[in-house]
Amino acid sequence: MSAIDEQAAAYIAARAAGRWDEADQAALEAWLAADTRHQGAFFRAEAAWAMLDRASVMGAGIAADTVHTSPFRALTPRPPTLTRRQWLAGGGLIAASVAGAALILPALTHQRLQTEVGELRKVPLKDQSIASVNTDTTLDVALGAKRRDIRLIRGEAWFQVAKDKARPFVVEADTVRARAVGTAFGVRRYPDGAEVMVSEGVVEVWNTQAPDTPTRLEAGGRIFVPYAPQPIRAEYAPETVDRRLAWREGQIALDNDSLTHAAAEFNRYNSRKIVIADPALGDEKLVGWFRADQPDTFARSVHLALDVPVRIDDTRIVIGAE
Amino acid sequence: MSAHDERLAFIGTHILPHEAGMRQWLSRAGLSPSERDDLVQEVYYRLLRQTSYAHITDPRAYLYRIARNLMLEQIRKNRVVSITTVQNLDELGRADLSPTPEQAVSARRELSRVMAFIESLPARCKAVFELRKVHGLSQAETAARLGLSENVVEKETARGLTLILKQVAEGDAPALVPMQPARTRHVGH
Repeated sequence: MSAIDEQAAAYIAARAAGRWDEADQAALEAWLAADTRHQGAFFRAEAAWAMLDRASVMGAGIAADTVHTSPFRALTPRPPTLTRRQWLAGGGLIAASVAGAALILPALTHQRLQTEVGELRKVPLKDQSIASVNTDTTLDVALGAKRRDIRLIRGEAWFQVAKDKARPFVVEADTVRARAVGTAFGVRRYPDGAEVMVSEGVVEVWNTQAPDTPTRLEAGGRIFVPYAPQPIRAEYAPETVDRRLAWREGQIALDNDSLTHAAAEFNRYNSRKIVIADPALGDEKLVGWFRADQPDTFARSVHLALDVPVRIDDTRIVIGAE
Repeated sequence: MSAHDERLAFIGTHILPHEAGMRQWLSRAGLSPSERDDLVQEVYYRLLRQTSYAHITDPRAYLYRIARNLMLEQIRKNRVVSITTVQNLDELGRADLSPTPEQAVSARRELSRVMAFIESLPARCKAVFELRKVHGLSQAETAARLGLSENVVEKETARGLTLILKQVAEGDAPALVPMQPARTRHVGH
């Protein structure tokens, strides 16, 4: 029920008041012509008003002044109570339940963390930091007296870094470095470079092969640093950072991303791969939030959104006519 | 009864009782309250544009189909989909919308529904609606009977109709039972 619905009810009441003139009619017609939603709301209100005339059978043959209370008990409709499941489906955040969800390990000073395809892990480190490890990722953790070193060998991770000024927290991805003291940031490896995204605090990013000074990245900032030395520039894009870190909840967020990009993202998490059979579809743009472990749901959305054939079987998901 | 009155009667009898269930479904499909209000208004606009209701055998299924088609149009226009939207569109595509026995419309049920709407109004509003709708008095007669100005009666009329429309929107309609998606589905053409 919106302001439009209330406006519609006001027009109905005014028209039924018996004081309706041509100017009122013109005003109503102008309002209706302005928006199809106005017409829909008015039609609905008009139908409800007409429906109430059925009450007249109750008053047939009875003088109005003899009626005080209606013989009918009020049967006030109860408002619908949504079940918890419906509430969750209606927009509550769905917790990640990807294969092998949060596995808590004893905290170690030196450890290798590895995840399989589709696995998501949240690992507490000995220094009170937390590492969220994305699908198909390998990293080594070495917590020393002077430094906390993380080597990202493949994949992607996000770190909630415990504040410790005496021991900088440095993530290494090939020639790329990201250094923080107490903050939260993510690093993802690509074949040709690494992406750094900051959720909280400040992170310094540099390339060991490049002479330029470190780039300061603040919360909401992201940067792609190629392994081959070349100038780099950070961008401030908090929404993008949030979206690209949606994997921590087991989700994939698309914001005008191409179908090619979306398929590649889903394929990081699932052994059942998405195949785009019709190359013409690759550049189609999509928006939406999805569960990373439900590529079939995503494919059905694509079928609905792009009106293209989709075939789903146990081994693969084919989008577009083959 | 004019053709338009007949159409209003059809909406009152066969569509309004299912509106709340449709709204619940739209919420579950991930629409925000304002998106939902907009879409419901567009649904009624579609019904308004429909020249005849003679071909409608199952009004509830018909209503849900209009809502579903509108959602699909918006999805295709904006390219915005969410997991809940898709699951619910699927659910709706498969839901059993056959009329249940207790949904059969009887004059008695209709009457008790209408009286319940009027009964639920705040006192002054209720008095206005009883005089106008039960006893068929004009607004001027109603104002005189209740010792109120006509402007106040008109305001109470608008307020009461808005409250009744809110009940139509929130009423306790049976929600759809979601079904489990099949393991392997072939969708497309």
